[in-house]
Amino acid sequence: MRRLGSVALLVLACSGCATVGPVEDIQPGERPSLETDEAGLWMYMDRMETALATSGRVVTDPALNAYVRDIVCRLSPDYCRDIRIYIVRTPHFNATMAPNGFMQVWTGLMLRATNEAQLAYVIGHEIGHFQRRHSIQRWRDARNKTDFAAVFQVAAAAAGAGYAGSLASLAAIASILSFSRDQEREADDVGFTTMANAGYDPEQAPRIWEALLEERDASDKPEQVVFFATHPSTEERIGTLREQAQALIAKGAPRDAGAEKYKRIVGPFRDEWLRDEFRKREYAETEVVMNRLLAEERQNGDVLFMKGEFYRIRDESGDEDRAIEAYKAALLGDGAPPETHRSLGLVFWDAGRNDEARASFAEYLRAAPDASDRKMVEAYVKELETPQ
Amino acid sequence: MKNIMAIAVLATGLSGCALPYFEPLEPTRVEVAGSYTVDPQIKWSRGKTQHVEIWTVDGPLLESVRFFDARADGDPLLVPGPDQTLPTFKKDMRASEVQEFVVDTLSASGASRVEASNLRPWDFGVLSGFRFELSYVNQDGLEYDAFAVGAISEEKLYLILYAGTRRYYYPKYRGFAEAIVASIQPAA
Ligand SMILES: [Zn+2]
Repeated sequence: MRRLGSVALLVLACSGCATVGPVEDIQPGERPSLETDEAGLWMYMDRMETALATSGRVVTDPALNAYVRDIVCRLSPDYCRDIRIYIVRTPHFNATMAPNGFMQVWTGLMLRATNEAQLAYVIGHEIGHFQRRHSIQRWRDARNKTDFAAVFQVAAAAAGAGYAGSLASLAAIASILSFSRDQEREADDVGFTTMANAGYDPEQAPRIWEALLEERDASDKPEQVVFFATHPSTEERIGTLREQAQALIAKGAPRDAGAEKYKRIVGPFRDEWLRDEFRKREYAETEVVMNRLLAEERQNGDVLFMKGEFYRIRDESGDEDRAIEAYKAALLGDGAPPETHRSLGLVFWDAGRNDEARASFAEYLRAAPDASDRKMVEAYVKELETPQ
Repeated sequence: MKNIMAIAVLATGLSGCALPYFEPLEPTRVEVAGSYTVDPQIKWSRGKTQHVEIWTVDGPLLESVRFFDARADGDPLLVPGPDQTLPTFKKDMRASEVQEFVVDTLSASGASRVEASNLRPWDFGVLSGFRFELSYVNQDGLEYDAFAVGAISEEKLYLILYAGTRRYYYPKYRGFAEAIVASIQPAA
């Protein structure tokens, strides 16, 4: 995990220098002619794309994929047929864009966006890299330097079997697709203009960066926030975006955030993706993510249940009580899953509150009579009924 | 730049599964994990890595029975790779939490879409233990089915996992794996 940041930074270090001549925007449907260096770069990206596609890391849910595709097409009807989206199950905030139209949207990003407009802004930013052909500029820069061979090796390794689905390979691909600061600014501009033109609330653009900054500030290992390694983002960029957003809003720009639709389509995946977050064991960051979700939906029994799960799994001093409190709040809120009772039972049992544990397990069995772990929980109840 | 290649090599398999040397195992009752005996049923090949003994016929990526050494409080199930954090066993875990621990370990080792179901009481030899079924996808996109049986005794976790590729190898040796875990006896 520690390597993740350094890989990205290493490769980034070889970009950011003088760009080798400007290139023109890519045209919709355009493919580089075969004898060019650009065609060579596309070939590597095609191989990486194939490897990722079969890695088991890609979220295949048709509704979710159709939703993200629709966002791309709403943002850019011109390029929408040239861009292939892969929703990649990995708990880090990131999105990448390869020159051949291979776009990755990581679930860690989708978990953190609280509405469609925020996701649309990041996707717009990635479309900006595609449109402006940033990769080929970057590739030519790298080739003029000694690091060319290394970049080449990463490309070859990333396409290798078994490696494609790993976090390290995802980071390596992201690093190949890292851009210079000027390119990032340009992509920011394109992303912002694109999302605003598509009618999305422009104010959501700085929001997603702000959320990420908050997480970075809470983190004990801020250098590991992948996105900052490849997308140098600063308070200054947030300030610029905020001013641009205010100017547009003053002129009466449309302000569609798409929060309801986003919750409806992305919501069913939230618990899984949160559990992926928990597994990173970077609890300070995860707590920020958790609190943001809660700020959006205070009464949501499911989010409150996940808050309880967070404390139960973190298991630091005082977390037992925090977990119990969250589970109880979940049961008073809307739509807490039956598993809330089971988790509450486990925490009570751990705390030696055996009567409450037994009652919670019994409640779980009533709430989920067909639960697949029914026999185990019945055994818990029996054990708790046996005098010690 | 060396860092990148080091990662490439490390990340090619599930962690802790660096392939050991395999040798044939006679189908007679044998001690495993230094703590109990089982009846192998058929001729397996046996390999040992740190903390886990692996039995296979067609190759450990296709199917395997894995006997984990008894894990104590604070131990991970596998040996973590460099820069890798793995979840650790806690002595006061209940069966539900052991299931979570196994799912988290698989996920942290590169498996994706790890799902567990059917957690139920199960006799691990003379110990009252538990059992659950698993499914997951490895880094090459291969789909696996698995089951795990285990028990906690004197604050230590005993665990056996049988896993195989979903379509062919899991069903192929499943009957033998079932017979093995049904044959557990305390070591003399
Ligand atoms: Zn960018």
